[in-house]
Amino acid sequence: MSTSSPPERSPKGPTTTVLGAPPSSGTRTLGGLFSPHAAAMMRGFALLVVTNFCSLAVPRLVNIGVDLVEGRAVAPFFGVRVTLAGVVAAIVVLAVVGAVVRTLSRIVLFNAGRDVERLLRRDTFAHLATLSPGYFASSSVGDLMSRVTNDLTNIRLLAGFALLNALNAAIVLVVTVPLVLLLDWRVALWALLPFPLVIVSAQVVSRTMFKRTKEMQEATGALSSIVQESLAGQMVVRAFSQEGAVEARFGVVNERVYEAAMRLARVRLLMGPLMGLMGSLAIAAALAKGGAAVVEGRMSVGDVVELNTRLLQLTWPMIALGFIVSVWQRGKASLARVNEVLAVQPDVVDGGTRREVGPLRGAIALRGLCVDVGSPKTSTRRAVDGVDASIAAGAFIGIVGRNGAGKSVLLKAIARQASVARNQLFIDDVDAVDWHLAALRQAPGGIAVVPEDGFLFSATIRDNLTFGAADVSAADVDRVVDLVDLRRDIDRFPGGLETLVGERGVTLSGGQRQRVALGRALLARPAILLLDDCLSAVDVETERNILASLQSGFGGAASARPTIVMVSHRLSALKTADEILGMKDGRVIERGSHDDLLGGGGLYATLWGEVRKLEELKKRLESDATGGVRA
Amino acid sequence: MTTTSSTTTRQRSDGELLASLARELSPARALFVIAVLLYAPLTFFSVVQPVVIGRAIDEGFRAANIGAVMHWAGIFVGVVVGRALVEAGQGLLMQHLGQGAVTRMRARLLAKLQRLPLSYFDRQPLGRIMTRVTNDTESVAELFSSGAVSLVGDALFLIGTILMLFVVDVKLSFAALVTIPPLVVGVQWFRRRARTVFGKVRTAQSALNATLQELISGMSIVQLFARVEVVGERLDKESISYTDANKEAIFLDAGVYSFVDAVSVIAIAITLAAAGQLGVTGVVVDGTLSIGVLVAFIDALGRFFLPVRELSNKTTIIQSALVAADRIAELEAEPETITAPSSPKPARFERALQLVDVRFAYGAGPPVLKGLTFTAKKGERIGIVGHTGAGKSTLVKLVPRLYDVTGGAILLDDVDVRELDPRALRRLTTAVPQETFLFKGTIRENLCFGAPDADDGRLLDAARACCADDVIERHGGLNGAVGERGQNLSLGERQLLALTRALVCDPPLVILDEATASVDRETERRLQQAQERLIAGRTALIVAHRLTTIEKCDRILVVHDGVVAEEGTHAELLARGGRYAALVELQQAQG
Repeated sequence: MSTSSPPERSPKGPTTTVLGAPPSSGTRTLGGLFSPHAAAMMRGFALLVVTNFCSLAVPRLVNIGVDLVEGRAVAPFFGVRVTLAGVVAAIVVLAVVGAVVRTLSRIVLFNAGRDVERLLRRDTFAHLATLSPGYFASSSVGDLMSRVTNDLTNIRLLAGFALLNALNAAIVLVVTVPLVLLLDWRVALWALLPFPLVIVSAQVVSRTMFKRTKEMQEATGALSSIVQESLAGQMVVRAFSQEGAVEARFGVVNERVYEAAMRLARVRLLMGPLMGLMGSLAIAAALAKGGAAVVEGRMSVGDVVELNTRLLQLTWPMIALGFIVSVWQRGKASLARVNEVLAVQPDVVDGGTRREVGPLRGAIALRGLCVDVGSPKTSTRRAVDGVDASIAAGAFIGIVGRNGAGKSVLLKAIARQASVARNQLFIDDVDAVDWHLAALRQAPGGIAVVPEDGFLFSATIRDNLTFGAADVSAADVDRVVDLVDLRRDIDRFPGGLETLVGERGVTLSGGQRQRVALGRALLARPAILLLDDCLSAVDVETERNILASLQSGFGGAASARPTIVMVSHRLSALKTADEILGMKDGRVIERGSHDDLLGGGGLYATLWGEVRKLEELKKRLESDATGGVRA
Repeated sequence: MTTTSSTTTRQRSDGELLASLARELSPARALFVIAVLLYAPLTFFSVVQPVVIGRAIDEGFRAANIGAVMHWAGIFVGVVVGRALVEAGQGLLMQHLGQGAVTRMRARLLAKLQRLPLSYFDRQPLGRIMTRVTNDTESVAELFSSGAVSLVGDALFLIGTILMLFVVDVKLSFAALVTIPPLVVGVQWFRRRARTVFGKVRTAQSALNATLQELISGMSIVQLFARVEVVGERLDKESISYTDANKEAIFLDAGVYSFVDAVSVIAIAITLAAAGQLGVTGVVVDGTLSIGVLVAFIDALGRFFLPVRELSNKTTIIQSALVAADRIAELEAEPETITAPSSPKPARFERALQLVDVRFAYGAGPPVLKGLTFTAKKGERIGIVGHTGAGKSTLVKLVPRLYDVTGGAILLDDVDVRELDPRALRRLTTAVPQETFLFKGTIRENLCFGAPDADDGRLLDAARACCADDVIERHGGLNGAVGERGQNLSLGERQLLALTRALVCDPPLVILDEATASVDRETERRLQQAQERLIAGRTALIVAHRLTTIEKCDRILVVHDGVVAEEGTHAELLARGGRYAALVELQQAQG
């Protein structure tokens, strides 16, 4: 059910402004993402300078070495005579120092990128946790997943890869180009000629590559949905002998994936040779022009060797420069997608006046409560329309009505999972919008809800039971296991309470899931227990036993008897309720005890009649009393 | 993103898997041979470059011969252009072969899945099966697209370069290649570490994604139990182990890169030192070691180490491709149990359908049918009733042999259905399961799903008979779009189209599992009419929920606990006051 209405706002002053959002929420800028890592980035930059010094000094040393081998005179270095042994030793030292520092520089900068990713993931999740079920109903899990995985990857690449290569390219450019020009500027200009072309074409290639990568992803996406559909519909496919048709349909999309992959491969496979060729052409230019310079005596052979090496050193940073532009654009686009999520305002906000944390008494008052559901983008519907009720602490209230009467939404509103206006809902005589959510959801002594479809986590049964209350004793768990009639089931599982329930509890039956979900709520020892038709898959007898022990205060557990608000289609469960509300179209159309309402001949009496008959018949069918005749 | 945990233990050896991957290429063996042969010119063009530079220096620079400089520079251009052309062409050819193989592999996997018994799908979560056809084949494709396959080329290049070095100068080669043993040891160490670390990264990633997916799906529960902080911490812990695993990978990547880089520089230093030794003894002057050779040597050493740096990256890709190939091989080895017999008997339905002591269980589950026996004569309309879980819907799947019985037999004109070609059997029987499944596409495609050659006239006639003509009209005619699983249609509309689809097939035997989902009164009336049209004049087995449907049946079987508990006409069974009478009352009460 999607419940959403305009965000709660209060007309009054600062006591009720939106304080609920944690400091982590709010949209991000690139600067904001980088600033916590500024120190690491500075360190990384310093390390890059050192490693580049090492690797850029080597070609000059090789140059000198070649000159020495050739027997040419070499100028003294700060007054020290330069020997071949000295040069060789210097190269080895620079190689080792350079390797260590290069490793460090990559670790520092790439790790910073990983940290940016991790912190943003944490904050995005923290923000998602402030949004109400209405938001999740209107967005798909797949889409949210893609934002917290793929988009964060793109942002990380921007923060790590792009940053490192941008800094690196800047250093190499600033150092190498002047050095090359100093060797002989006429030769150097010729040799540098291909490089602007390298940058431009790398950018074009990378842009095309990203575009085609996207095409490829779309094609594989289409492929997976056709596989998914074909496999999910195998019953029908086989019943109609249409395996061949499915294969043909698949074949078309499969072919499209092949085409997309080849289109992507063409750019990627052209890029390598193209970039390599441009670098090589630079060397060819150095060879031709440098050769002439050597012949004319302007350059030594060592100079030409150095020039060649420097040109090779320039090639990758230039290619990377082209790539950085695309990584940057993608990262920005992904940040925008993550910001879309971060910008969503929670529609249920925490009250500003934080109440002292202590167990709730459990009194609930509804004063003309109205709740709208649906997305404001499409259409909203008033699901609960002016409900009044005064529920004393420890009372047992039943709610009945046909599908769509607004029963579940009412429970959601009390549980503060749907937006309500001021002055309509009071818990322990305090306006619900003033309550801190943490105080309402404390354990023990808060509000616990058992939805119809008990969502379980892929953990052990014990972990699921204690999900809402970490510090319960093994004895408490045992008592609740008995209380919700799970003992026999658990004894049958090989791992007992430590049995894993699988994703969403798939390995349990519907009834088992419901009872675990109920046990989970009970272990939170709530002051208010909201039950949304949560025992529909449990048999009548068991349900009655469970309810009886609930009303006597959790079978002897320390806390007092909780306030219970229970929606049920199985009316016999509500017989002992202090008051039953009959709902239709969001309104309460009748109220009273079981006996009052049964005598009243209204909605409740009608439902009672239908349900009684059904239950009776089912009992007759399930028992073997009528006897079976084998054909 | 798939979150199904991936097994990293493999059943098959590297050799077996590589051989099976090589077999994938066999339809284009000639092209594959060409692609491999192209490594020869590629290696030549790479290895010869330093030699050309060396000649330019010796014959041009040192001889002060501008003509020779230009000559060799020209040759150098020719060599690098040639290399670029061969490299691009070879890469494209490899890619074509690889993607082609993977495309065939995907098609084969889908076909395989369609031959596997439906019980396979009961056993395996759909997500995991999907991973085989999509992600795993993609991992295999990576092998080609990432250039990991060029390891062969790299190896040739390394060997070629070493040969070239020795041809150029034996002594210098021995000196420079002293660095190779430490290089091999170092790279091996990184490779071993990388295998564990990348495994760790993959495990941490799938755990993190699974947690994220679960927490987002169950956010409401997390909030209700005020567990946001706790699960946030748990998520952060997984996020940290993922990040930490990645940081280890960063260290390895950076380490191997820098290590190889350092070794290549040191190799150059050693070469210089050796050249100095030789130079001192006057070798240079003698012309044994020319300066051009030295430069060529240094240049060659610089290039020699480039592919080594990529090695750890490539081995990672190869590892995951092999894991994927192993899982694919496992799927391909799944036994196909429902197959056509080698000499199928002709499928005919002239007399009767018989179920003889039919027993059935889903996998290792409890028995659903425990000896069901009945006969449906041609033209008869048989209603099957019973409460939920009695095994009625299973019947719908057994007759067209979507599942095989685990005991007893189903006979069509006295022939066991297992002796027929399943396709021929399914042409005689059309099953309409309770859950209507429509496919994404057009309404036409969905309606003629069972009879691809039906023309529009026949489709529209069937639609009119099934009161679905205005559904078609409302959704833009026969070309109207049907969304995935028919999501853009209402439940009632989907059911009407499913009934039309069955009517188009015009089968002699209809097995209908009546839908129970609630629809409005008008849709209900139309559904009943459509159903009546579909059954009229045919033999029909109807798993019936509506009283009106049951009343019109010639004979009614009450299935209870996997056997036929009562059998007779509506009036007979009602008069008997047993289980059937109780069921009927229940129906009436539910209105």
